[in-house]
Amino acid sequence: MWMLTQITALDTASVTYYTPWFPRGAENAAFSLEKVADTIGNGGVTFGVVTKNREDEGSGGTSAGSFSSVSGGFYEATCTGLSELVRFTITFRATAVGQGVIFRFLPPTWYDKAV
Amino acid sequence: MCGCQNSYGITNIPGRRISYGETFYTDWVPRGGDCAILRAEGLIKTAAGGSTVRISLQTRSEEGTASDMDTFYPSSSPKLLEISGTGLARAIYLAKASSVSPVRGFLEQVRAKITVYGGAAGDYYVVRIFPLVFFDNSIPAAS
Repeated sequence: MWMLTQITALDTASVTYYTPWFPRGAENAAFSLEKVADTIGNGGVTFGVVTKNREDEGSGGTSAGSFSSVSGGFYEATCTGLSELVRFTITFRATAVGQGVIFRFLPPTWYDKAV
Repeated sequence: MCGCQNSYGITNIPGRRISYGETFYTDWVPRGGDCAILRAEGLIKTAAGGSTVRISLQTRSEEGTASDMDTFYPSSSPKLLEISGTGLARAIYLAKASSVSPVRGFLEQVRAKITVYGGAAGDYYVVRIFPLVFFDNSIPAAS
């Protein structure tokens, strides 16, 4: 689990940040995040999941899914067919300098197909 | 790190068949935080009678009696995790600033209650329950 992360816009360009890569725990996962503050609003910040194998070069990997709202500040991404490594993407475009978002990722639920 | 599995118990039901009219409880396990996400997966559904599977949580202090818990999500009745087909389903349990009734935050122990709701003879599901994802509030909780 990560502690809260705050991202503040220094300009109004579209920006994508990556978390570190971490190894998958299974072929499939349900990832969760909690957004506790968002002054960007209007869909200005989105969260995604990318994946790649250890021998693959590149920072972006292949998209494995995106987070969608569950309720309140909770978001979930259900991903299948993950490769060896996984990381999250945070993409935002503020309409004014100083806007920002505060969030944290929660521990994932890893699972393999049972049937 | 995100790759950790900060989760405990209430699982290790890797795929259990539950039939019309049946209810069972998991063992009690220690909590890992005030709040949690409960996830379960419907693997097989044979429910011509229209049944669903309802999974709710109970909590207690080690020396206490069981209390049914109230979900943050779903926010409307039935406030529990309900499976009506195959695939993942989830419920979120979020503690308040102090104890409330029905219970919103976890006490020392937690277990799941699984029941087939409604339907008719012959209905059955195969479900699995994943380890609870425990966490604590990151900002002062609502009262």
